[in-house]
Amino acid sequence: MSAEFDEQLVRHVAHLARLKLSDDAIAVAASHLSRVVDYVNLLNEVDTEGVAETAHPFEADGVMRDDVARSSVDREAAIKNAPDQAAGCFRVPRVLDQGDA
Amino acid sequence: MTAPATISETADFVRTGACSAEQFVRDALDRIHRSEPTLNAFISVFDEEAVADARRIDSAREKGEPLGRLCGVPIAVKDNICTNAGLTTCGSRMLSSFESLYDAFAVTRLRVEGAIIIGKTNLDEFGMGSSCEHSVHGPTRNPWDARRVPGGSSGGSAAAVAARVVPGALGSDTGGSVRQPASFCGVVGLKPSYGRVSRSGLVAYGSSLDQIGPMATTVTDAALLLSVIAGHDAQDATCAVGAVPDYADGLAGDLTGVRVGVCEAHFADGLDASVARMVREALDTMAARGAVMVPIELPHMKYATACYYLIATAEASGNLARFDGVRYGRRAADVNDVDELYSASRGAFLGAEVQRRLMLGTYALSSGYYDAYYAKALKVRTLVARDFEAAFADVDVIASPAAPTTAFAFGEKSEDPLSMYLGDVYTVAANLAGLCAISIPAGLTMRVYRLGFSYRRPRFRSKPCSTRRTGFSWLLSVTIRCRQVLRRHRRDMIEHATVNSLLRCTQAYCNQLCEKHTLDFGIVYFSERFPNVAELNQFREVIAESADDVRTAMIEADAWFSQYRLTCCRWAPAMGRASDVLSAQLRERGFERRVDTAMRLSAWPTWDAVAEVRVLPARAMRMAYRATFDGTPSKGEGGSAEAIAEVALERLDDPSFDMFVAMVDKKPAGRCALYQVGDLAQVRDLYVLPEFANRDVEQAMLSHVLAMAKRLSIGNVLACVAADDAAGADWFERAGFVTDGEIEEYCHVAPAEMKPSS
Repeated sequence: MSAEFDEQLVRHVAHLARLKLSDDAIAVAASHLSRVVDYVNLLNEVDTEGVAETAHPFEADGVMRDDVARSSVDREAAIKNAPDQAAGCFRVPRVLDQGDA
Repeated sequence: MTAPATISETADFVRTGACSAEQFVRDALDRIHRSEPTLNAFISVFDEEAVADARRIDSAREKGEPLGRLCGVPIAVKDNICTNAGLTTCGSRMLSSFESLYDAFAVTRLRVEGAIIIGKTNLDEFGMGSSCEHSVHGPTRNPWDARRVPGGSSGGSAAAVAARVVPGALGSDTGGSVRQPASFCGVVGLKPSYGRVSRSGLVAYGSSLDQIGPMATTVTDAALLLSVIAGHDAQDATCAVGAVPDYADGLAGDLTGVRVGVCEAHFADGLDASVARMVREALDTMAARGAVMVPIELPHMKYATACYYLIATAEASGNLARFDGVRYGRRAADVNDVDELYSASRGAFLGAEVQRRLMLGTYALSSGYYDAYYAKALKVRTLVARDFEAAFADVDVIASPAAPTTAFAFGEKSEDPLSMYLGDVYTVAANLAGLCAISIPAGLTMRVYRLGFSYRRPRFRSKPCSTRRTGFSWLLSVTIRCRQVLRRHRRDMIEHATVNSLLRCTQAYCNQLCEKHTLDFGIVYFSERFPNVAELNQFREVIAESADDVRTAMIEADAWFSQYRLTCCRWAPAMGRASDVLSAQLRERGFERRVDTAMRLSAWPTWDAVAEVRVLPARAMRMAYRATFDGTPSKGEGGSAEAIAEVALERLDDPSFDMFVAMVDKKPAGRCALYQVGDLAQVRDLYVLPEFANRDVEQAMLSHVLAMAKRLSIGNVLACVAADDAAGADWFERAGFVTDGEIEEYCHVAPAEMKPSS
């Protein structure tokens, strides 16, 4: 399985994970990840036919609470860590092309 | 400069007013600032806030207001646990200026009980790592050996507690991040059951695995911290609702009938031989205390690590998606659109190990691979949990090593992520199954060797210590003994050889602690108040650089000694040399300077033994002593031996020493000397201290020790003789020793009952 964890696959996965990596970093990641994936293939030995999945250590029932109005975080506090802000909002680069709006 | 050893002791001091919270906090801050150049355990230190918090505690006490269980206790918090003061960086460039809006639930609970949050500790970025090497703030170093890692990811918390900078700390454990650094640093680390402690305010890594856990120097302290931070929190839907017991309750008592599961697969390939031996010894100790060892099978254990790394990274890939450069964290400059904003920010400000794990997790969840990896891992997780369920039907606890090796050197595994991951083999299964787990040091005193540093340096040096390490001008150990112990016996009952050998062992232990990290000197005490050697070998740290510091330290030591009714009878400067300042101070206080000659073995001697010498495991020695001295103590001279035996038996009962070298000479006065050497196989330096009352016996004893040392490839054998004992020095020279400088001691002008019979 490790053979397939080449640089092309690293680029694909890095894109999915929204990580912009240098070519050097991609080469290193390919080498490291192919070893790790080789190792985790160990799980193929295990017969899991008919075994249920455990996503969580305990059966987590829905936890309900009364629907009571309460104050939430102050707006100024909520955006104080934002790298860019304007008018009490988070500011990001333009999402839509100009003229499309 | 006072430093009570434990959390409960510190809180007691504050509660009774014996010492103010402010003083404790200032002392802790002082220790932090002095140790940081060496340790780098802290990312931020709350100097002003901590002192202000401490003053509030002191003022509450003065007004008679109720005080919490942790009143005035300085506690360090891992930097992925939110605090409303200061920064919470997670060791990441991404969050280098992040200020949390609130305290984590666990931190709130600590504050409610009066704890002082003194700073935030270093970690592998976002908790991803097992060595504390992956932090933007640089690596934390192991206090026992600065060339080695403290473990991770809670390495800063472990190092701070191990160096006695703070009495306790919080860490977080996703796959062993509390327990493995606790093991590497020789402290107690506890991962509570999943859901026992709220995760609210813990920056998420693997949400179905993460737990906040306490780290401390004793199990009792860890239990106390857990009792405080556990409990229901509506902010965490996975938090357990059940009542919180007093976890410290029931810690006393023996292990009779406790069923301990032991899985032989835990001792298979990959486990370091010295760790295996230490763990087996710990199991033997438990068995000797009444525990029943039960063989168990955990057939899916060998898949746990692979299973863990798929699940943890898959969960992380979702959890860390929030660090996108929009709401918090850092943002890459010069981007054209939102998509590039995300990827450029995450590419630039997340570390390589974090990126690697995010890619692994993303891969495991991605289309076409989900069933083969993530879903498969979830099924194997079910099987791992079922193994535990089956085992716990028959046993109360399962005992295993915490890590396959002792602390490894920096860089040893950082280029090979897989080998780093495989080091988590003993810890990850508890997280997969949501179980509670604790890592406890397998020994004390000489067992510090288990922590993985080799100890090959000659004990004595002619150079002052200041040449070795900047900022630590000298170190000392002070040995004291209890007046009552001495009064109980006639003056000739105190056998100095016996006492000396004990003092040497405690001093050697103290030296190791001092040399290896942040302490200028430690005070070793022993008294009947502390009836076994493990307690006796406790130490108090003092850091002192100027004449005023020395004076203050001595005054404080006096106050502390008087509290426990101890008498200081000897100062033994470590490395055999006291500074001029200290020397003057000691003479002023009535101590006489005495110079001995240090001797070092340069070649292996051969000679014939001329008297019976016993070198025995502690248990056999205990029997031998009882056989020798019980029942038939003669009057007069024989009484001396009886008294010695009484003192010695206390020490023989201590399980943390394996081996005793005893010299027993029943003619004419029942003299005996007892030499503790801990775990001989681990010892590189061996200390012997003959008294030369019976030269033949001494020679025989020594030859036996030397033979044993040779067999065990012990590199250094050291001894000392009084400077005026030409015959003694001559004897050592003939035995192959060479002179290796001077060592000083400062003996108090002893009360009559302390003087040896001559």
